Amino acid sequence: MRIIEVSTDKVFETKLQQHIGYMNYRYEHYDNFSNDVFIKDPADHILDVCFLILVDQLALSYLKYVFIKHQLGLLDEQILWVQNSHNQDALVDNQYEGLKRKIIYIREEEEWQSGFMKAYHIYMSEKVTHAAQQTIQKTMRSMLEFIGEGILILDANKRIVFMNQQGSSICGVSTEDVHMKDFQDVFHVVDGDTKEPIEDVFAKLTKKEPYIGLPFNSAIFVKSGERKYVSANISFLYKSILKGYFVIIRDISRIKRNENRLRRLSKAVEYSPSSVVITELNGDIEYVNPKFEELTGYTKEEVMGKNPNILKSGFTSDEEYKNLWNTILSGKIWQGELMNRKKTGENYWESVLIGPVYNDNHRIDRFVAVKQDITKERELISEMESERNMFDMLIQSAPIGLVLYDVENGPVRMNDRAQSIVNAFGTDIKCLDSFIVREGDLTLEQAIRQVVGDNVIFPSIEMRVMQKGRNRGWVRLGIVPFVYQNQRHALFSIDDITKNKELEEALKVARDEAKEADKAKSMFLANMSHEIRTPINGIIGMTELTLTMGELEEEQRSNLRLVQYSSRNLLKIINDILDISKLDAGKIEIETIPFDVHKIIRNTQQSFAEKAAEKSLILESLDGINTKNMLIGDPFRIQQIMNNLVNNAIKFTEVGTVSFGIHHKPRAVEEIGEEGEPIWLEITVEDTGIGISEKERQVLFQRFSQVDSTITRQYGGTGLGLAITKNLVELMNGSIELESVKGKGSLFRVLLPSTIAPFENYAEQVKPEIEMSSERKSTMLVVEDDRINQKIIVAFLSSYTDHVDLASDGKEAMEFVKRHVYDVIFMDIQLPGIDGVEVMKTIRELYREEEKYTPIIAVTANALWGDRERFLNDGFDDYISKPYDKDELAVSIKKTRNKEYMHLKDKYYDRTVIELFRFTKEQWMEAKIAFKQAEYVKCRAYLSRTRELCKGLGYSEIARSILKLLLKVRNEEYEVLEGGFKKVDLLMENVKMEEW
Amino acid sequence: MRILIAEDEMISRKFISKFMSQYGDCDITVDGAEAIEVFQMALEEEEPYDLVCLDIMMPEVDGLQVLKQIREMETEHQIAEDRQVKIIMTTALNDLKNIQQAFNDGSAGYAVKPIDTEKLITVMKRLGVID
Repeated sequence: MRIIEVSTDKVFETKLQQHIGYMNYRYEHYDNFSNDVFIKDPADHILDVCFLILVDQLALSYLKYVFIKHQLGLLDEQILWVQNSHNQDALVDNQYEGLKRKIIYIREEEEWQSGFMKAYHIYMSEKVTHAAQQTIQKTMRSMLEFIGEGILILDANKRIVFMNQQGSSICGVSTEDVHMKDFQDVFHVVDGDTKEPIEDVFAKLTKKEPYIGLPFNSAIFVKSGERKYVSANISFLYKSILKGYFVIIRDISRIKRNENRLRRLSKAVEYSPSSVVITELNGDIEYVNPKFEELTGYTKEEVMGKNPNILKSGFTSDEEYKNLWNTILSGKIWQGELMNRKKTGENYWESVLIGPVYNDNHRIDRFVAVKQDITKERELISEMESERNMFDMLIQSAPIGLVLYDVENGPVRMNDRAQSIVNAFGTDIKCLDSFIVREGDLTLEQAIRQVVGDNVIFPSIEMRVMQKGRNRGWVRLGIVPFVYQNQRHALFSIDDITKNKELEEALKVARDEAKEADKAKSMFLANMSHEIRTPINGIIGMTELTLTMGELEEEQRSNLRLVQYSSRNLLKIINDILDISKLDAGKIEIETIPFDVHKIIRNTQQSFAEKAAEKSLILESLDGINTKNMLIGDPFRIQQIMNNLVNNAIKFTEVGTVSFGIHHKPRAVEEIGEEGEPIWLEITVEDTGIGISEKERQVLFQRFSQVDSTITRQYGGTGLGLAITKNLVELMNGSIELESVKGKGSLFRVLLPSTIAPFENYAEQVKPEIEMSSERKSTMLVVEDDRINQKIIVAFLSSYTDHVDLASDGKEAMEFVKRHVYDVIFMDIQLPGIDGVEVMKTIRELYREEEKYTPIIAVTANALWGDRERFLNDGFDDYISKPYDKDELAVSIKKTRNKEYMHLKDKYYDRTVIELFRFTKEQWMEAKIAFKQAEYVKCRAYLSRTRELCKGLGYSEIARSILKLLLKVRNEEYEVLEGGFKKVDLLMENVKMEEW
Repeated sequence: MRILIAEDEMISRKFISKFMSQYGDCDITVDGAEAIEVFQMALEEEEPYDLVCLDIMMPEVDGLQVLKQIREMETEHQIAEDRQVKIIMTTALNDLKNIQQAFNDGSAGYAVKPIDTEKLITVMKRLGVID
């Protein structure tokens, strides 16, 4: 502007539309401002020269140029306009030598789009020489050739006079081939979509409208079939008369594509499910898409030009808005969530993205906001959050410890309870070794690895909490696999069960004690059963003896009969009580042996015949068993059941019949005989007695209950019979039932399962079950350091045993005896290291608890023979001398490896052989003294003991003599004993320890 | 008649020996082992017993084992079956199983405790040791 200001030239300024073709309207300018002059002016002719326009890239622009005309000598001057945005310099073309010219370049910086256009406007006077004109034309032509748009010059008949290179590339025909061709044949312009030819644009050109473009969507189809969208500017070329046309044609396919793309993009915005708002810099709304309208309830018209703060809910802080504006004004994108308000007043949440839009000048001129309604998501998230919070709280405050555990990194999360449990143990849960699973000493880590690796589940395992080797308590864990963040973890519950465990321990101790007590009780019972019966048997026996043998007076006899009766009753009662106690303690075992069922009926008949006869009752038996085979069951218990029932029946029946029997079920089978076939035995006992009422039946099978307390007095008995019977029946998996009419009688029916025994089973089963005294092969240990001696003794011993272990010294011997209890041990006294006596004593201690006695025989060198007494005194059972002698070995084994000796040693474990010898003599002396003092009971005891000792020490002859004495003492044949004692005395004197 | 009695319990022993003394000379033993030894001794000294009364329930060596040993000893001494010693087993009432076994082991009679003298006499008669 400064230049214009200072210019002496007359300057005109105008703006052109995008297309260069419009430049033609300058004619009008010319016309306007100097029409007459212009027309008259020979400068008209300059139109021959035409324009040269260089367009860099885009048509869209503001072209600004300055129209300059020199005030003076307008007609005779060439006027050259130059607009050059690239060069600040004016272009001076030296080719126009001789021409008067003026070139002015003006640029208004702020409005010019930089670097896309050059324009030359050249006015030449008539005075221009032809040559110069030709030069200029040539120059122009070559310039035209390089212009990036198709430029054609047509004659008045629209034939192509000139077409530049770019025109050729648009139409696909070479410049030569189009010469003088009809323009409309070369450029057959049609509608790009319909392919209909467009109307003749040339016809529309008028003087008034001297330039024209192509209709929208015009296109040509080139030889290759490619469709090219084109635009064109067509104008007259006048020089007084129509000389032709000037055509500028452009391939706008690319622009068209861009346009389409833009249109599509704009559609996308229209259809977008997000609301889109475009505002101007000050925030005024310029555009909203339909989604915005739908969401907010505002129409486009309502919000246009308004500020988006109409949506404010008041929820968002000013601070945040400030931040928003700062961000977008600084050219950045702001992203966040806002609570906004709809037209209806309803609040909603939006996820908002706002960014600036730049103009071509890199300046922000708009803002675009893309917004998403996230109200539902927010609600969902908040719901989920509250849900999660709830779960978190649940887990946190659960009354059981929960730990989420990663195998590699330890606990990921744990709740308060877990923390407090772990803390209470004063341990760190990360120290996996501080936990040891009780079962198989599996560590927690191993358990977790199994859970995570093998998908094992430990629903409940108890682990000991160990710390520094000390038991700190117990925990119960349940471990399950758990996928967390796509990783396999272990989730486990943890509960402190130390107290329970202690309680459990205490209970266990108590239970064990109780068990012990119970065992003791059972033992007691078992003993009592024998201990109680024995004296009663004594009472009964002696009474009976007296009754049958003694010469008694009638009263005495009668009294004794009462004793007999009472004691028999007592025995029965005691048997019942013992039975019920045994039943309680579960001590009664039901046999499953073959038995003769017919015999049970016979026995019953025999046993009760007399009793029934006493009461003048008819005793009937029914044997319904159709097999000669034995049956499998417990004959004694079945007999007991039968006895109880028949006994009761007789007891409670005054007149009539008692009938009992055994059948098998099903009865229909004519002959049962299939071996192994299961059958039911039905025992029936029927009477015509007092009967049992419905009410009485309820307590009938309870112990200690007789249906009427008066019955006890009337009939006697413990009231245990039926309770025992019922228990026994149930033990045998049977059942008992009763039919009865009060006053008419009762029928007891017992069903018991059984099977038919194989016939030959009979013989087999009744074979004696006497324990076979199976003399198992002895095991021996030889402690001997000399290898040759080892071989010799092993060879000698091979006839007694095939199991000889060899130890070379005391230490090795100890290893052997810890593993095995030998029958005999031979021990060299002179062993390297620990000496033989020590080893022997240690073995004795070790073997003390064993049920059999192990003789340990000392082996000594000849030189030590004199010390044999010493070794026997030390506690060896015998001694032999080296070199080994087969006979000596045999004698020694025989002496020590016999029942009597071992029995003796069992009894007097700590007495050495020497002591036993002394003891024998002492006992014999005592026996003699007792005999002399006529203390026969004492005498018998001493004799027994002496005999036992003699047997054990191998003096069986003396033992036998003592036995004879003993028999005589027992038979109180004292007078013939003197000789016996003398004889034994002689034998005893010869007993010498040295013989051992 | 020579009678051997094996009974560990004193009263029973006294009862049976008193009873048996009516019929012969009784030797009394207090356990199974002793009974076996005495029986063996008698065989060897050729003064064999005619009757043995064995209690089944005795500690260590019970009556059944004694019975078995006696039969074996007799076999060893080649005593014919009809000349075998007569044996009466005595036992508690509810010991049916043992009695059954005793029968099959070669005992010829049994008496259930408390011993009924009449029954004992019946058994002895049946065994042929008394008329």
